Amino acid sequence: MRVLVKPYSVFRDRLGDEVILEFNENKVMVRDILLRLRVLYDINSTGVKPIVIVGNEIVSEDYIVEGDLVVLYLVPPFSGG
Amino acid sequence: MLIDVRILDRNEQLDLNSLISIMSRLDERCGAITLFIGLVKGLVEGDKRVQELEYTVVKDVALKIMEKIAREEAEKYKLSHVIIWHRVGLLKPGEVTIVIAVLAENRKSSFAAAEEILERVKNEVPIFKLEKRSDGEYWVIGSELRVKREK
Repeated sequence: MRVLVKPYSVFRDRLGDEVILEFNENKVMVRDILLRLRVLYDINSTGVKPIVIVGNEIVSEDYIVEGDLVVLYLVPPFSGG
Repeated sequence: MLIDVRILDRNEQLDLNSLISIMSRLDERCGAITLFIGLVKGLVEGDKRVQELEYTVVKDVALKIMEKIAREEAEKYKLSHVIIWHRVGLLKPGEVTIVIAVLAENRKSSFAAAEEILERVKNEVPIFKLEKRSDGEYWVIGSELRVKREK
C-alpha cells in the first residue's frame, strides 16, 4: 500500500510538500508510519510531537490504516485563532 | 439554528456591520449578540516585532471540525446563530484573524458560548501560524511554543 503524507507547519520544512511511503502490507499502523518518518526525515529533531489526521479525524499511534492509497496529514499542535 | 463557518483569504472582506445588522433581526426571542474579533499582534514575546503572520490550514478537515463545534455549542447554549470565520494566508499586525459571533437568548449564554467556541477552535481545528518577525521566522506550536524556522 501507499501512504501519501501531507505535512504542515514545522513538518513541511522537514518533508517538503508531500511524501509517498510504500509498504508491502495492505494495512499498516500509524506507529509504523511515524517510525518510517523518523528514520527517513528525522522528524524527532523538530522537538515537536506530531499529530496524525486520517479521514478528518485525529488518530492515535495504534490506529490502523488500510487500502491502496491512504492520505495522512502530519501536523503539530494547532495554533489558530 | 443557523451555522456559518468559513475559511477566508485575506482579500475577502469582512462586513461586520452587515453581520450585526442581519443577526439582530434573526430571532425575536434572542436578546444578546457576542462578537469576538481576533487580531494579529504587532509585538510578541515582549519586544519581538511581527511583520507578518502566515496562517495555513488543512481546509477540508478544518471546515468539518468548525461546523461540528458550532453545532455542538449551539445545542449546548441554545444559540440561534453561530458564525465562525477564520482567515488564512499572510496577514499584517492589526488585521482580523478570526470572527466569532453568536446570537443567544441572554448575555450569560452568549458570552460563555463565544469564549468556549474560541477555545475549541484554538485547540481542535488544524490551523497553523508562522510568525515572520524582526528576529527570524518562527512556527507557533500550540498556544505557547515557538520553533525557529530552519532555512
